[in-house]
Amino acid sequence: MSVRMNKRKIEKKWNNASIQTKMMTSFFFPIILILVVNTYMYTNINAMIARVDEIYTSNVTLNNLSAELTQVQSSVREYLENKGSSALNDYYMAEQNYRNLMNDIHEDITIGSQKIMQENIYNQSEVYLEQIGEIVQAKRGRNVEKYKSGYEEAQVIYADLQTCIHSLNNEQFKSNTKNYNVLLSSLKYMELVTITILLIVGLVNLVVLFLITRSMAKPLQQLSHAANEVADGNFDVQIEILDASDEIGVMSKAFNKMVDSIQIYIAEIRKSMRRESALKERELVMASRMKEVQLRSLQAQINPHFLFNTLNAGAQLAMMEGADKTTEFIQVMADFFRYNIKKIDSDTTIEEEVALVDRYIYILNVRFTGEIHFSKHVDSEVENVRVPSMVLQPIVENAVNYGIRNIEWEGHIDLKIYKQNDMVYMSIKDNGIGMSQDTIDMILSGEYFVNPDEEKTDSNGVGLGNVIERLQIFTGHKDVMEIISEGEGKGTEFIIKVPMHV
Amino acid sequence: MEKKNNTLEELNTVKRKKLTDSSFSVMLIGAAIMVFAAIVTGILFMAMMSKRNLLDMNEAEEYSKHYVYIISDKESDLWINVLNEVKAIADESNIYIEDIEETMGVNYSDEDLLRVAVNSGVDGIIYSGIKSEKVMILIDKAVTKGMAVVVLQNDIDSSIRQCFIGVNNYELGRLYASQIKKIATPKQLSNMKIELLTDADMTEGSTNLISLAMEEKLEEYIGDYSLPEVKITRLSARDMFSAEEDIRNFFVGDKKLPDIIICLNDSYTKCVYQALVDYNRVGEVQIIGYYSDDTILEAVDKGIIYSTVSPDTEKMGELCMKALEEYCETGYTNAFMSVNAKVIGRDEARELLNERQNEQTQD
Repeated sequence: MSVRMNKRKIEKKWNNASIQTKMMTSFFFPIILILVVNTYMYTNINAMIARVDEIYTSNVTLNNLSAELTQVQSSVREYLENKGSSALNDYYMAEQNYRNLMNDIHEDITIGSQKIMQENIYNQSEVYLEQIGEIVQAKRGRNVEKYKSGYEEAQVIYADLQTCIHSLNNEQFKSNTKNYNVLLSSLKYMELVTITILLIVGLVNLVVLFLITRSMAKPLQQLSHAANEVADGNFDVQIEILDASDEIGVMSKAFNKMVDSIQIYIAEIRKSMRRESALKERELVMASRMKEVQLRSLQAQINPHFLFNTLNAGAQLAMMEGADKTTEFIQVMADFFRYNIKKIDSDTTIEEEVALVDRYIYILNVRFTGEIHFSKHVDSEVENVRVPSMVLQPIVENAVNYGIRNIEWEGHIDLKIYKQNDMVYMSIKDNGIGMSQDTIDMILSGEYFVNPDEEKTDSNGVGLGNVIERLQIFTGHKDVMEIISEGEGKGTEFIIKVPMHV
Repeated sequence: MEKKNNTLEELNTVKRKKLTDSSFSVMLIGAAIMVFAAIVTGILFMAMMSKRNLLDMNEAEEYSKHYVYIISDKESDLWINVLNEVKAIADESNIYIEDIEETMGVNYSDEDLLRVAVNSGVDGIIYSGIKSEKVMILIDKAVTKGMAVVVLQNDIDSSIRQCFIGVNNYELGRLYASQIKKIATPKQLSNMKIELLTDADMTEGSTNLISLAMEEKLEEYIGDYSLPEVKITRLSARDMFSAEEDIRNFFVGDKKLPDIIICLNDSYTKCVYQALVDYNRVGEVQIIGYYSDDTILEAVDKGIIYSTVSPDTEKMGELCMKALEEYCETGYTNAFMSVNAKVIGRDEARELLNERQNEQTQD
């Protein structure tokens, strides 16, 4: 459990380490491992070489021992032959040297049978040296017989000793050679081991480096690829984020954040542009509708100017003749047409719109000798509410022309203007022939058009569709008019809805 | 939109996890492989080196004692068996048994070897070789120096050796007589010639004792008939191959062969057997051999050798070590130790051969 936790800790540390640390670790770890392995192998090889050097030392020692033994024997022989003091000195020297070497070899540790041989040589040497000592004493004492026989005996032991030394030398040479061969093969083996370890470590190192650098390079490649995408205009791109706090991790996170921010800004810009274009569109539509109304008005302007002058002349004539009713009629008619020309391109108050309707009804009643029974109820609070001009009169005209003109019963038109919940409702209700629901739907959706010829003959030129559109543009709402008809012969009610404050 | 973001995040998390895991795990696995490879090869190397260091000079074994054996005919099965037993017991007690001739690496005489052994100050000497004045002096010198000396087979009775181990010659004579009785009727026996082939180093007393025991036993058997003629021939083992040549001389030409040849050691037995076969004279002479190696047993089984007398070699080896140890520890041991011998006839030979064959198959 704790091992796993430790692993996680180390993993976290590793992930959070900087690229430099990661790369340094990735390179240094194998290098240190190779260094340790090499040092270990180097130490072993050195120790082995040192042992190879030592291998034949024992043979050299034994050769020295043999040479020294010969020296002892020859010096004694020389002494026995001439009894010279230098020969005696030589003998003592040689004996001392031989003893030293003998002791060295005696203390030397060797394997089983060789140790026994060493012991044999040591003990025989003791006997030999003792024998030699006695010979020298005998020579000094001129005991010829004794030193003669003693020397013969010593010669035999000398020969035995040389044989033993030779045998031991031979045995040691054999085992030393074996050891030498073992060491040689070990050195070769060591070479193989070293090469194997280095190869394994090298290969694994290569693979690890490849994988680690790839894992480091991959996010960078992704980042550059993503950056290219962004440069090409594709902002809908996200990169895999390393769960690490190294430079790449930080960069990746920053990149993703940047892309997110860009996307948000673009969305906001798009929204505001859409809003702006909608506003512009509205203005354009409004203007185009106005132009349409203006065009129709202009078409009618030639006649009104002439008509105004004519009407004024008529009014003056009627006044001079004392015909007051005619004067009033002509005056109302002139006012009606003037309003049409003046107010068509701007908004106005409900009060003026109602006045226009009054004039229109007066004219029609003069024309049709009071056939139209018109009543109005206007809430005084809403008289100053602003509405587009020429919205009430066309509806009243519509009620007259299509509602009550051809009915056999007495026609009534009721105008009610009232306020309800910050809204102003303008209701024009007739008791005429009524409307089918299809016609109502077509009018409200703008698909219904009256016969143009018919319109020319008996209209002031502003249709229901135009009224509805202008009202919609003015209020910014779709729902500006309601048409209620309970069926054929049951009349129609138009309700215009405008807010108190636009 | 939010959902899409979530999915993207999940995807990132999965991939992210994969990315980080692989990076760290690669590092860990790589490191583990490298360390593992280094450790394994290191351990293999150490193991190999320790295996190769068998000849390490520092691993010397300390022996409690050092005995030397000097056996003239150490190549024969009889002595190989005796020495095997000696070495087995010595191994248990951590005693080094040295074949001094082998360690010297030269062809020394028994006397020379004995001298080297004495001068080398060994703890004990096992000797079975020529008998001479020099040998006697050297054995005495060794004993004087405090070494234990055990003589096998042929006693150096003039020396002050601590112990002699061998078959009781009187007993041996009686065993031979028992076999002779089986070969011939008393009447036939009275006209027979018996040749006793013995080692020149065997003391006269010993051979006389053998022949005396034989005669005693045969006298009871033949009753009123006269005793067969017994001739003792001493063959010298000092010169190489001389004994073999002497034996072959018996069979060369049309010489009258003795009726019974009794061999007092294993090499003479084999030599006689081989000569009989080589000169095509099987059946002309009855042979009573010594010891029971495979060659001799096969000859007995074939009926070429009538029977053989075999000493107990294991016992000889055991007694040898017992005498040496006893002397080294207490300074005293029996001067004479006897080893039993048994007669192996045709049936026993076959049985023994079968046994050995079975043992070999099992091995």
